Order: sequence, then structure tokens, then C-alpha cells
Amino acid sequence: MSTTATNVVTVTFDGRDVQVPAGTPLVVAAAQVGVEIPVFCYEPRLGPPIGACRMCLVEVELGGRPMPKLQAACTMTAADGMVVKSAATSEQAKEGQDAVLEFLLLNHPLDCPVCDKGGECPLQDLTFRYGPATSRMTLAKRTYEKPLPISPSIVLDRERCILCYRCTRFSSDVAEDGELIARERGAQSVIATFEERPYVGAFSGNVTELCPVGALLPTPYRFKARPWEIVNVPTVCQGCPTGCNTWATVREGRAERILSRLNPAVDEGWLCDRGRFARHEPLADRLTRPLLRGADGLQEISFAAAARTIAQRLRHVDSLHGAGSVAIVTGGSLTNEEASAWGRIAADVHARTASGPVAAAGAWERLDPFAARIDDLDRADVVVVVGDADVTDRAGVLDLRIRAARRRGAHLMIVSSGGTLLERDCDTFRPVAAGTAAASLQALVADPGPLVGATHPVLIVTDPIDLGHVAAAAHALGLQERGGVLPLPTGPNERGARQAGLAGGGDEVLAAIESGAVRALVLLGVDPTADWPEADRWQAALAQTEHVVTLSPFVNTSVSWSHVVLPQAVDLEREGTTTNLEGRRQRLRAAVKPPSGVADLAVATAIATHLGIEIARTAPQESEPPPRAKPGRATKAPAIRAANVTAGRFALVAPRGLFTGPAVERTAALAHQRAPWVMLNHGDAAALGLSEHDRVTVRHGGGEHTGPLRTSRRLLEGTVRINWAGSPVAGEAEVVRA
Amino acid sequence: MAIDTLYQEIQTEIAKYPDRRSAILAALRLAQTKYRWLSPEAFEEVARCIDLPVAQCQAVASFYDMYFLAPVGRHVVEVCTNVSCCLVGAPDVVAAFERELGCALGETSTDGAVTLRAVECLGGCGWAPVVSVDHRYLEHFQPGDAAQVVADLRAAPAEEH
Repeated sequence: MSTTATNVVTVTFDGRDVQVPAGTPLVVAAAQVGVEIPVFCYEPRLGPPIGACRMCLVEVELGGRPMPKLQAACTMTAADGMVVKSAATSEQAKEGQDAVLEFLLLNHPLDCPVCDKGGECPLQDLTFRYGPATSRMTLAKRTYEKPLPISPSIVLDRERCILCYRCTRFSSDVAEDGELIARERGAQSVIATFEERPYVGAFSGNVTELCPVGALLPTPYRFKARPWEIVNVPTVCQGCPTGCNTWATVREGRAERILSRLNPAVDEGWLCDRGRFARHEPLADRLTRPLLRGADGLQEISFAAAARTIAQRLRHVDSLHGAGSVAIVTGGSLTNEEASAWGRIAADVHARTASGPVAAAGAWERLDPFAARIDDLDRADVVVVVGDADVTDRAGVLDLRIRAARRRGAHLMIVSSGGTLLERDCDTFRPVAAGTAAASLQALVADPGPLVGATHPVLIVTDPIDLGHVAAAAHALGLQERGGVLPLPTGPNERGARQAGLAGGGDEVLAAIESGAVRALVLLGVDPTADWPEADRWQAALAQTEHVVTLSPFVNTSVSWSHVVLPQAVDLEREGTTTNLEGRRQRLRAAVKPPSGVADLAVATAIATHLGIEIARTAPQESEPPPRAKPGRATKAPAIRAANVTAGRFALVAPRGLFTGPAVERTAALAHQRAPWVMLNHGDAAALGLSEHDRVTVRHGGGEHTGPLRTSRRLLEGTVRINWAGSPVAGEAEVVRA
Repeated sequence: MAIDTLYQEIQTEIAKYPDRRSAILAALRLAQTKYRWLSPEAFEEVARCIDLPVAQCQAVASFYDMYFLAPVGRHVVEVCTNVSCCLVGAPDVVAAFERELGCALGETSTDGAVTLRAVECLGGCGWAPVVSVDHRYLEHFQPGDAAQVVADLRAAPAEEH
């Protein structure tokens, strides 16, 4: 919006003048001079105001003439010379506001004492501050069946609902999943899902924060705490590399709830359901003590003994077998401070290192000359997403920002084998064979389509391909001078681990283990047999390695092959900083104590001390993403291997999804988000005699996946897409009726 | 193939608008013509054809009186019960139909011949009370007319909706 002098207007609120750009909603302009106009439905993040709740009624005078009726200050926009009287100075507005509140409360049960929203509820607060003390409603209130689960993670209380439509606007206009609707009409309107099926959508939990009453509440938080008993700790989500800012609601040493914490540059106040609901619980499942393998299997030992043993073994292996005989591997779940300590240890024992599964796909510095920030999407005129994986799978809320860019008018181009979440409303869909993201980038350079003439294009590659391809394409497309590339690391703090000296890829380490070069392997918060490709090879590699040290919150396959095990703290239990996908360092705060009672950094420091390394304690520092690196020379793209699919089989697309991993698997509130499905092209399904919802089995290299069929007209023929939750698989698959 | 006929018809409707969402009313009408009522399966088919979330299709359909969200009989009798019709005897008209059909408002007669519904304003306030029989208006309807209408409908073949 331009703010040139010509369209700045002066509006008077309760006798106070304010100058705002023409078109500013009155509620916003009023707030600038300290005049509060109460609202329920107004929420600028949901798009244009709709004036549904009528709470913001004001008296408006324009051109010296009073408007005949009270106006909604959210939909009424500022015009020059407008004189606005809020309920504070206008008897008429006060009367209108009272009437609206009385009306909203007609069927509202006023059960605040037993309502989880009580104490944090706009309806309660505004009724208390602005509303009439009594009601003239003497009839029985309307009742509904309640509570109604709209999914395993959200409960709906229709009696409390004031039909502000914030939740349905979020669903249809922000997440664009369209799952939450208002059914029926007028007084019969209710918030609902189709046929009461669970609300499946990566961002559904946001409606529980948007709801201005106690109608939509997060199930795991029901009856858990009252607002005066809780402490909200500001921290950062570690579910993916976006680094959404969060509040952890703590009661009596337990984190009971996660809320979004607005950071406009990162998350715009949204949070995905993984970040909101996935919990590393039950605590009984957690590792709490270090374990050492002896004659009788894994036995508990003290932290001091574990640190000493690990240091001794690493030193011993290094001095006996030389450089590269130790490998220290992380999946990006360490803090920067922990990664730095381990990086120093790695240097000292001449270790091979890895910060992600594939070396070539993790060399993020190759994109530095083209580095974009998340908020570059707000300025983008073209957004190109290349790859078979969904953006949601790699970096949750980025999906919402791309959708917002498209609604704002940016051209959205999707290059994939189809069946992704963003393509339904995109401007250009370029179908390409599964697994050909690298070749697609070359094709994009040859035929840039909407990128021709774009001034601020943003490129996102969702598949973990050799970043040489991405850098070459970005260079050829001139993205060092315009727009940029948003990197999508695999682990939440993969970039931080890399910068801290743990660079490298799991594939290289795996090859070194298989060649017999590695005698000691340290797995820091990663289980390569579950999280990374080549699960079988990793398992064999673990079996043949003399010394395996694992840092993990839970028992997993890697733990069962380990000789020394350290319990790992998880995101809500750690102090430090984390580096998100754009290179922003953000502060993690320990909301609760780790069940082991010992900080991971203290253990790493103890190991370092045994090795004679001094780790200085430094205060965690936040920082903005680094400035863009100087453009380098054009790089040559690596060779592309063509993938051919055997006749009668399907090309398999099975990206590792957002709802995977040990915490998600243990969270009942997320079970519905993980329900397996199989997607086939409409024509392929018909040829196989399969129709929608038929149960279908897909057999592939990683195992078997069975689920109801979804057909798509955009998914490329000869391709099968599944939401496989195991270790990453690709290649080809067989599809049969289950 | 029957499915593809509906798909093609809906694509024809979508082509009339700049935004496929605008074709949702027409798409629902086509599905109702095909299946006589909008079952959950019909909504899913419409959603696939128009490429919108299925819940959005149901949200729209549930707003309007012209879509049947439950199975209907061979004929549909709709009585306007809004203010104008109500003031001049619509409740008596409803009662007359209930008596003749042996079923309550919102139900279908046991022989499956007629479904009786109450609807919002049919736009015929000047000729109230208005009854719509298979989408044809009968104006200034008197309770005494119901018997003949029901007898005629029981004898007549099914109507498209």
C-alpha cells in the first residue's frame, strides 16, 4: 500500500486525530491513537475483514453528516474527515455494543468456570469490560452434543461458538484445505467437517488459537491447567528447519501446550500440527541414564563414567587407526552450542562428520550467493517449487507463506510429478517424471516460463538433490541479482551443525564404514536406520562397527546396536540457539527439565574436557540471517542419471513427511494425520479396476504400504504416491489391490 | 462411463467462469439431477470433478434449500413457511399435506411417492401461500387443495430435480 501524501487521510476518534493511509480499517486506525474498539472476528492474517460478529460497531460521521446506522469498524475504512465515536463517547455505539454482546451471549452457556478458555478468552474479557451485567434471555438456551471431536487433536463445543467464522476462514483462505466449514444457514449454522470426518490438515491446530471463545480447543490441553497456574516460556520449535517461534505452556514442571509466538519474519504467528502437538512422551519411554554395553547387555552407568568412556574410546580409536577412523554424525537436532562442542571434539579426534543424510544435498553454502530469506516470499512476484515432496513435508509453515504469496498475486509455478498440496491452485503446473528434480531444473533454465521478466522470483527445491544442480540453475536464472533460493535442510539445525564443524553427509560416512575405515561411530540425535535412506545398509554398518555411541531421547534401532548410549534432551528441555533454514539464529529456552536432569551440553563439555579441549561458556546469541554472499563463478551442474521404470511397475514417490519421527509416532493426537494412503493417476486406477477408497497395497524396496486409494488427475500416469512413514525410499513399486 | 459424463458436464460449467469455485452451484445441481439427492458419495464425486475440497461442496449445498441432503421421493412438495406465507395460512397448508401424505414435514410418504419439505421464501409473496410441486409453483394455495395434488402426484411418474 502506498503512503504518498495524496492518500493519507485524517480521521478523528473520540476527539483524537490520526493520519492513516486511506483504506485502513477503522479498528486499526483507532488503535493508533489509543482508542480501543473491541473485535471478535477481525483478524488481518485471515484476509479481508468480513464484519461477521458486529462487536466493533461505532458511530461514524462523514462530510459533516452522521451515517444513518452504526458501522462495523473492521469493514469500514478510513476516509478523510471521518469523525468516529466509539462506545467510550457515543451512547448509541455503547447501546449497539451492549446489544451485540447480549445477542452473542443468547445461546452461549457462560460456563467459564469449567471452560479451558476461561482466563484467556476474548469473549469473557470483552463481556466483563464492555458488556451488560444482565441478560433478558429467560428461555432455555440451545444445546448441542458436546464436546464434539473434529479430530483427535481438536474438540468443538458448538454451544460456546459465536459464529465469527475465524476458523473456517483460516481453513478456506489461509491453509486452503477447506476442511472446516459452516454447515446449514442462519440460526442453524454450525461449524463442522464433511460427514464429521476428522479435520486432516497440517495446520489444523491454528484454529484453536484463532477461536475467540472456548469453542475450538486443543484436546491434549483439556482440563490440564488454569491460566493463573501456568508459565508461558518463549522458545523455538525444533520440528523442522523453519524455526517457528513458540510459547511452551508449563504447569508444575510439565509442558502442557505449545502455542505460536508471532515472528513476522519467520512464522507470521502460524504453527503446524507437528510443532503444536508432537511430544516426546510418555516420559516413561525416555532414556534417562547413560548406558554401557557389558557382558549382560546395556547397563546403567553414571554420566561421569559415560563421558570418560566415550572420550577414552574416541582417543583410542583415533590414535590406533588414524584420521577418519572416528565418525561423528548428526541429523540436525543439536543446538549450535552442542554442535560446536562436538565439532571441537570431531576436530580433535580427526573424525569424519555428517550433518545430514546426503553430502551433496547438504552443502548449503553453495546456495549462499542466491540465499533468500523466508520473508522474500512476501515480495516475490514468482514462486517456483520444484520437486516431488510437499513443501509442508520439509518446512511446515512455508506452505502457508507460499499460498499467501499466490493470493497476493505472485505467480506460483509447480514442477513435480503431481499430487502435491500446492498445485491445485497454482498458476503453472509443469508435470515431470518422478525423481527428476535435477533434470527439471535444467529444463527450467532452458524454458523459464513465468521467470522471464520476474523481478523477485523465489526458487524452492523440495527434493534432496545435489545442490550443484540447484546452484547451477540459480546461476543460470540470474538469481544472484534478483530473488533467490530458499534452502530446505533435512534436520531442524542442520545448518548450525554444518557451520559448527560437523559438515558432511551420511552417505559418505556409510561408505567409509562399509570400506572398514571407520571403527567408532557417534550418532548424535539421529537414527540412520529410520531417518535416512539405505536403512538396511545402515543397520549392517552399525552391526560391523566396533564402537557405536548414540545420543537419543528414546530407545531405537541404533541404540540397540550401541555400546554407549547417552540420553538426549529434546527441544523443550534445552537452552541454546538454533539456526533455521535461512541462517537465522534463534534462542531455545528450556521450558522443562530433561528427564535425565543433565544438559546435553554439559555431557559434551565433559567429554571434551577428558580430551583436553576447553569449551568456553558463551551466552547464546540470536542473529538475523547473514547477508547474501558475493556471487561466485558459474558452477557446472553434476551429471544427471536417468531413471527408468520397469514396464508394469510404478515410479514411486514417497517423501519423508512432516508427520514422521519418534515424537510424532508417540502422539495419539496426530494419528489421523499419519493415516496411510495411496495415490494413483485417475486413468491408472481405472485400468487396474480400482476406485476411490479401495484398499491398495504398494510393495517397494523399503517394505509394504497399504491404504485407501486417492485418485488424482494431475499425478503423472505410471506414478504412485504414498505417505510412507518409514525411512526414505524411492525407485519403483508394484501396486495391487489389498 | 457414467462418471465421466458428470465430469464432462461439470467441466462445461467450469469453463463459463473465471474461477472454478463459481461453478459449484451448477455442479451440485448436475449431481442432484443424476442421483436425485446429494449423498456423501455424490459430494465426493463433485469435489473430484470440480477439484475443490469436499467439505466446501457440502457447505454450499447445506446453505440452499434447492439441494436435497437426504433421499427424496419420486416427487417433492415444498411449502414456503416464511413470513408472508405464514401470515396467510402456510401452517395449515403444511398440516393438510402431512395429513394427506401420512408423514411429517421433512419426511417422505411411506409409498415413496412424495417428500414434504418446508422452504424459505420462494419469491411469491404476492401470491401467498405458495407451494412448489416438483419446482412448479401453485399460488394462493388452500389446505383443501392438498388432497388433489397428492392424488395426482401418486399417479404421476418420477420427476427430475
